[in-house]
Amino acid sequence: MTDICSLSLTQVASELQARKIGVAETVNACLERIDTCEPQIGALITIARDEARSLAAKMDAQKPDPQRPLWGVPVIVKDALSTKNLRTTAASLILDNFVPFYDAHVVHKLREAGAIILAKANMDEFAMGSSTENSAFRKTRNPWNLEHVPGGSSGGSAAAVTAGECFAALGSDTGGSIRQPAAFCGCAGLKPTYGRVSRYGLFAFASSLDQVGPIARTVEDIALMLNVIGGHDPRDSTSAMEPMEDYAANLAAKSGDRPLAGTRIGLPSAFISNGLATEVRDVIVRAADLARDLGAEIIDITLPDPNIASATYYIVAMAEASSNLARYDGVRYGRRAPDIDTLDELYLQSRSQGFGNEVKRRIMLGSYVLSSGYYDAYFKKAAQTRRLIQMKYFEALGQCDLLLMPVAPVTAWKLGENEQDPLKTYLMDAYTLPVNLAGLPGLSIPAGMGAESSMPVGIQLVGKPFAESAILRCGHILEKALPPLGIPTGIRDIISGH
Amino acid sequence: MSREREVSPEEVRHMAKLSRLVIAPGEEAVFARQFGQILGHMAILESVDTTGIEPLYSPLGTLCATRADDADNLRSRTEILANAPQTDGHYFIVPRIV
Repeated sequence: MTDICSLSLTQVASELQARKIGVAETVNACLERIDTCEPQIGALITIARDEARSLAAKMDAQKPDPQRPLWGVPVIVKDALSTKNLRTTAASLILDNFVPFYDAHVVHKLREAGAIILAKANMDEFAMGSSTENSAFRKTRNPWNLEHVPGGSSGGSAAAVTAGECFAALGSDTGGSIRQPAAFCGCAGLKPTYGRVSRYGLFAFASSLDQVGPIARTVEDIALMLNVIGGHDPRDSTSAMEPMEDYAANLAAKSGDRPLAGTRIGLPSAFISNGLATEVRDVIVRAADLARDLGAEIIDITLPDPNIASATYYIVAMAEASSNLARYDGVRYGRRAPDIDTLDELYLQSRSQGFGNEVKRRIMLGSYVLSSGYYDAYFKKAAQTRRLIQMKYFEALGQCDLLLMPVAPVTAWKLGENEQDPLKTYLMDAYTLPVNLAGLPGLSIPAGMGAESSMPVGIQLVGKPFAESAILRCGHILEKALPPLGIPTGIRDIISGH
Repeated sequence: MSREREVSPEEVRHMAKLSRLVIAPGEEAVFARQFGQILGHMAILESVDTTGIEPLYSPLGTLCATRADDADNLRSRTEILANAPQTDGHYFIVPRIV
């Protein structure tokens, strides 16, 4: 018998349409996997067990709908996305008991396509972090090695997909929060072009950087998810009018042994020769060689200093966060500090008791860089540098079709290793955050295992604005040519009872 | 590459005040040290020549989305009050202000 949980999203959707498997059968397989893995992986905050089962029973009583591409497919959603009548916390104590009365646009699109929302995934509080250790509720562990972090901030989404708890998940990416956990867990993740996917119902962290995107086990699955969640939404004023494409159909590759012939890939050699762990560099160099063997032309390109991009990013992100998180005041929703006599004290205590330290750190630095006396030196300077960075990326993409870059300088680190040193963690995002500053699409795919750590290494493909098809197609071709990573070692041990 | 900046406990208190947060006195020193390191890293931007460069606040550039000026009642009072810590059924309740 086929193990349902090991099917790809595309496969399971097709089997459900053909009625080769039932919806309840599929939902139960995922719930069983959740019950087996969750005590050790901890990828989820809330599980919608009863709702999923009852919807599955209803769907089984009907015929599959060929107009709904995700009909009966269980998916998991990052807890930063609003789900109607299903607790949504952003992994923060301040929203511990928050039950939204509306669906985020992307959640609505998933339901419309027939998907079943099975659970809400763990994350760093308000998406601030790179390891999911900043969750107020639990620490998530990497399915390849339980002593390691899954990455973040969408670490729960990536770990759940890798563990086979669902067939795809939604994450959000402000500076790498989809691509880095996907790389750390050995799955695929896409941050679409800014404006491609509506942010309506995504709990705002940094509005000019945030973008919702899919995490799945194959590039084909990512394309299918983007087909469903992308497109214009009048409720998000930054949602683009740019027409959608059939990203899944566009994956169809040229036949022959040189399917990348005619594709020009920019490789920033300065990123490769400096600052990467040897095991990461080796995998990226091999992937670039493979792309060349498959017919691509690899050219050397120059990109802005990652340290400058990182300083720019943290100023912009913290400034926007300090403004966005002003809404949590203990008045309209969320936690309110008890026994308070004055309104000022109510704000102070509710916020101080509700937010964790990383969130406080970013709000305070954000207030600082926006405050009079420092605004020009920090915030305006960062906004100007941001334009220079965007121009440099546009120039680089003028010379080639897409960029091949690292996702992170290292593989997944051990839990607790970087917790006391926020700056060290910030610098880990240096290769993903410029893509958010410039508003470009970035795809992370697994490219091999680190020779020293035995943890997955990802590569990042960055495209021109709204050129998701180009990076997905290239990612799909590389993925097929790269050796598969196999079953995650941590999950294999859990399932076999070790 | 980055130089640490000196941040005093007074500055931490000021930043907390601007943010409507209170920091326990025992935690001020830790925040001060971390802020010093992070602001030191941000100082690298001093090396970037941004003369005459227009700030970029959104990757889409200037964008002004408009919609038809039609009034709509999307949410009910009950829905909006459902997550409030304290209400009287009609309004949010806060401690006495005046």
